[in-house]
Amino acid sequence: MSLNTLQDLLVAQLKDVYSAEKQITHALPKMVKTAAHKSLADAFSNHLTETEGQIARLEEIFQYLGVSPRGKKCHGMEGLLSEGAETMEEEGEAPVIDAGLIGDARRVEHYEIAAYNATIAIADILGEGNIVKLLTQNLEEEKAADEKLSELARTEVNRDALNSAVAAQNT
Amino acid sequence: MICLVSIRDLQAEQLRELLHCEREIIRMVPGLIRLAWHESLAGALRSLQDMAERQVGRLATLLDASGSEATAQVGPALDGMVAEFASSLWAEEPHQVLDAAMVIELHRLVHVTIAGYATVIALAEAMNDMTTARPVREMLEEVIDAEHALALIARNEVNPDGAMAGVPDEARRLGLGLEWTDFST
Repeated sequence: MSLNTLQDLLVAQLKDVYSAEKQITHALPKMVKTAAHKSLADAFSNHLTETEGQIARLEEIFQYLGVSPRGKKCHGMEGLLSEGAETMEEEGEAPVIDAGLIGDARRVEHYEIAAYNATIAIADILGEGNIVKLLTQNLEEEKAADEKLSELARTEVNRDALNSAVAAQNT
Repeated sequence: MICLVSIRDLQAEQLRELLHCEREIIRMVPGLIRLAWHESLAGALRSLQDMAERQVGRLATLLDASGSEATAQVGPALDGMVAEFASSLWAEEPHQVLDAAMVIELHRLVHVTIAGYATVIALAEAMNDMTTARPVREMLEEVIDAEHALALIARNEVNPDGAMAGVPDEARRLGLGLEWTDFST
């Protein structure tokens, strides 16, 4: 894809983040099934619903711009999700694998936070207020999802991972 | 396949992934400095490289101290981000847009390391392992500072210059760059 203007870069970034969100909708159902903690499974499930809403907002932007959302694969997200798939295949204690999944999911969220921040900055300088507004809604949801994962790790999952290892040593 | 029996196994895996990430940054940055048109961006890249070199040393120390081998954990996540870099940066593109694209890819990479450091801190705190949590928090704060520096450069210089790319000289002289943009084509 040729990037001759900042508008080209905006469209390229929108296509990239669209591809990323689509890939996430394919990955999340397996994460819901794998998570041993119900609270973590619920968080993934809620984020799947949010991601579908984010895709709808991105499609609204593409419609406004009159361009197709397709045509670019986000290799960064593909790699991050492969990493998550590897964690799900690993052997070990379920709470420790949950803690690993949180680490992988937080990387995914931060990748998206960076993508939305950058895309909003470009849309803003191009005076595209409607695009900024829609993307900001997606950004805020990603930040909240990251914060939720952080809270789950701190209050529940990491503590259980620690206790499960102690229990395994004592048996 | 790694066996995640204990939280310490997971912490060591996370530290090794970060080691790989910081080493990749050291490997990639010299080429990016050559591509960067804005001196401020080249300066930020040099700072990023210095920081990554410090982080590699600190990560190796932490892995040694925990009795784990200080080898990098190669994974598909970083390979994917490097591929994204390669597909986004084309030297023949206008330098203003190239710099804007570069900042975006750097932001993504830096944000993923932020998540990595935050994960290690959370694991260390769960184990009450302040010997790991404290230095990693310092490392995280440095990465966050680097991310803020990139955001400032994007907002103040790189993106405004990028907005003028492709604008005819006469329109640019008259300050009509942004009005000239046309999404319909």
